[in-house]
Amino acid sequence: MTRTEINDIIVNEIKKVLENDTMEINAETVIQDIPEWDSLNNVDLEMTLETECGIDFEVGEFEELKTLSDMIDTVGKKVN
Amino acid sequence: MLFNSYQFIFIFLPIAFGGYFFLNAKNFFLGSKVWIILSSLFFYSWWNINYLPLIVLSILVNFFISQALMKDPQHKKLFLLAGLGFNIGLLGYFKYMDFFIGNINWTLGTDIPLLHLALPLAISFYTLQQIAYLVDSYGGLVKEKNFLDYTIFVTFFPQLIAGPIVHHKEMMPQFASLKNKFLNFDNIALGLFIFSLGLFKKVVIADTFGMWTNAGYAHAEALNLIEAWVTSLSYTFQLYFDFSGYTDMAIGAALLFNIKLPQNFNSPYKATGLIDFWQRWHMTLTRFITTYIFKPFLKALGKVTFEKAMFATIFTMLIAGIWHGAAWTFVFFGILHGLAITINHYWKKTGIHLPVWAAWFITFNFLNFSFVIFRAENMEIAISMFKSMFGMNGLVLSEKYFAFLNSFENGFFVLGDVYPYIDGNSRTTIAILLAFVLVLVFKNSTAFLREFMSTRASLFYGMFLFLIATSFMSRISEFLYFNF
Amino acid sequence: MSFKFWNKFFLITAFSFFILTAAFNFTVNPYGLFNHHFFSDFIVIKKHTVSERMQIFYTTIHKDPQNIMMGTSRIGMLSPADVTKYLGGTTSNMAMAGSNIEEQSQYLLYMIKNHSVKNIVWSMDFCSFNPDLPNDGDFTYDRLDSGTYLNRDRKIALMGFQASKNSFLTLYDNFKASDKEKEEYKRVLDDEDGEFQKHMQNTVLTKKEIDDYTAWQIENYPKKFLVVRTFDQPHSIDPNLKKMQTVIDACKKKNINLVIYTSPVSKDFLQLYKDLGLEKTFKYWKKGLADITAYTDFCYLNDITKNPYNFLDATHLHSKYSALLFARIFNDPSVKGPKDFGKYINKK
Repeated sequence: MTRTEINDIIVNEIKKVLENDTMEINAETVIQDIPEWDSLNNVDLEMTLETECGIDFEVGEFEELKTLSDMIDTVGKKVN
Repeated sequence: MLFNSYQFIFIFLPIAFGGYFFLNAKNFFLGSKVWIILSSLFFYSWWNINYLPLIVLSILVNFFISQALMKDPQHKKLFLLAGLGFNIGLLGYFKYMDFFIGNINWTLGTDIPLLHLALPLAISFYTLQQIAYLVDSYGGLVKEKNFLDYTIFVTFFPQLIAGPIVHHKEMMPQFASLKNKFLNFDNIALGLFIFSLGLFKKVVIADTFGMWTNAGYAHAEALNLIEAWVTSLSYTFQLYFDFSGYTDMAIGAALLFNIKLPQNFNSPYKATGLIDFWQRWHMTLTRFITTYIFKPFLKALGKVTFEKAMFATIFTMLIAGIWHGAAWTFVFFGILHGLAITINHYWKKTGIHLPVWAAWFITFNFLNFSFVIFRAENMEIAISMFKSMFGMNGLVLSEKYFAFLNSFENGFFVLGDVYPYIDGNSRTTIAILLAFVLVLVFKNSTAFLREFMSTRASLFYGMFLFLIATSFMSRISEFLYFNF
Repeated sequence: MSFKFWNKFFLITAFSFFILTAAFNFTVNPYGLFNHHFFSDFIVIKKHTVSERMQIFYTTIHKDPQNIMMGTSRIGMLSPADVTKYLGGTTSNMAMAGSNIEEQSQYLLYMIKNHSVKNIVWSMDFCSFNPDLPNDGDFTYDRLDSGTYLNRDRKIALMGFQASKNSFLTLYDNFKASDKEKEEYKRVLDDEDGEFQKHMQNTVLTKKEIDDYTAWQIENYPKKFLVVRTFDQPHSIDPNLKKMQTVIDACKKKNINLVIYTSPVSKDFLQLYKDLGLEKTFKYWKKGLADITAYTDFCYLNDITKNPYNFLDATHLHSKYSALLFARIFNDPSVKGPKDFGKYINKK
């Protein structure tokens, strides 16, 4: 799985849960700081990544990932 | 020892601070570690030395389990379960046993004697922190091998008693950093400033509201409409200024040691929804319950649906409610907040946007009502309070300012003394209004920290807060009988 | 401005402010907490207190009297000189207004343990036995714990606005007062020759004033001191009788002479007990007292209590009867008064 693929999964999921197609998300965006983002959205994102990439996060692991690029790094390490 | 005591500010803190940096300056790092641990345990034992063995036991057991867990990954699940069992068992026994027995007696009509255990200080906090640590060790997110470091993580006195609830992984790199072992004048100034701000919030603001709160709740059934609202608002403000003030003091004290504790409050009364509120209020607790209760519980329910998530929310808030104290009022408080968050989520799905002021108004009033349940000793008092707030004891307006309404006096509405039970006056009204300004308009302490500079203005502002606060610390409400 | 300077300035100011405040309040000593005599000729008048309990307690332990009077404000209105007359030595009136038995016992036990008390005159007040009378006079065990050096009282007296304000006001009073006024103040305070009694005896109330105060008490006492939750059940006062017993035992052990009497209240107040349904408890109380101690009973319908104008209100005997009351307790026939006032009760 490439970084772009992972990136697309995350960005699409964020746009989907927030029902907002126009938002700008780049590698340095801190996910928690996106307006309207709440803990429920966070679980959604975590679960989507787990199913689509076939990985498992440890309890507390996902919360440590602040920016988009942090997420891509960690997911990338897990799939490969 | 409380942060807001002369012993802490003028004796304990200078000695702990001086010793720590003296030993570090001599490159005796092991000594400074031991020093900070001994200081913290002394700080803890000041209240009651009888609780000391319990916290030491808790640290030993948790450290031992985490070591076993790392050495024997094949059985790590077993160790984790044993650890969770130990921590929850300890907390359950000391905090919830009497509540449990009381309810058994009530439902089954049995007569099992209560244990009347005193709640060991800070047990709720150090237990949570160590549960998080064990789970993190289980997931391989932390690897602690040094017992002294682990003890510092649990006992570091600024956060030991009332949080913020910190994670091992955010604390230990800070203690390990060589740079942090030496005096840093920037951090000391920041620390002194934020400590003074917190002290002021606690001693001057919260304690002032506390006097009205206590008097009001002692007569919940007799208060008139305005007095009841002032009592409930007093508590809402007391709670915030007390807790956030205490957190500020913790953050300030830790900064003296070059340790940055996580933010715990972010202007919570500016919240425009319940989800928003819990992201701003006691943030480290919210972080803990989302990560270690809400998510694992939700995942355990299988495929995530919105309904399941809402169920998990209510369950989680119920736990959060009980964590605050062993009583039905806290259970109810938790469920109420769980429901409110659920409603908030449903509302979000509808996509309708309320004007900000309306959203704030609904949120704040919900909070104010829910804090009545939180504060009341039991449900009867909470209900009396609600009744009074809805005018069951009539409405009284001040004779001084509303004399022109005298022709409207009737069974419900009279002119007279507005605050007879809470012993208030026009200053009470002004204080409530000022508190609204403080929580809605002012920057919070995190913003102060971010923008802090060593200017003359910040120096005088900090000094002002500190001197006023320390001068208020020995205040007692004058207690004089007249002809009784 | 450098951060270093910021810190230095902050810390030096904070610590010196703290030390200066404490030194100032220690010297002026507005609450009389510290047993020193700095400027004792000049600083005589000390009227600014935050807690009567605190004041009474420290005045008493500094005086270290041979005799103590204890009870509620009913005995507070009576004169220590009348006690000294029969028991010799020095007497302090430790009356704790509105106190319950718990509080009175704690102070007595402290005095018995830590001071060389020889005689205790303890006035019994029915209200003090009410199990639902909270212990809310700023009583604190901290005060009686001699182990805590920086206890709450010392902090209150040394630090902060409140203490400093009262120190300044005390200084101001003493600047303003003439030497004669100070002399007078000292005399009443020391009460060597019954100055207090003379002072109180001169209090003249009109009948209307007495009626008003009485009505006020009859209306307000049931809200607090006579609040009836369990008080109407006689056995509800057992724990308080037991507390009394511990004091009696402690006195016996230390060979201290304990004199007990029941405070007189006016006939209207005796009627109030009946109206509140407390008659059974009241009878049980007297019997309970008799079971554990001998005492002089004044709390019944007698020649003094029959007339409400012998009182300041419904419950406080006028101070002019102080001498008579103690004369009856100590069997002194030389003080003349109505025949039926005071009955000696013992177990038989």
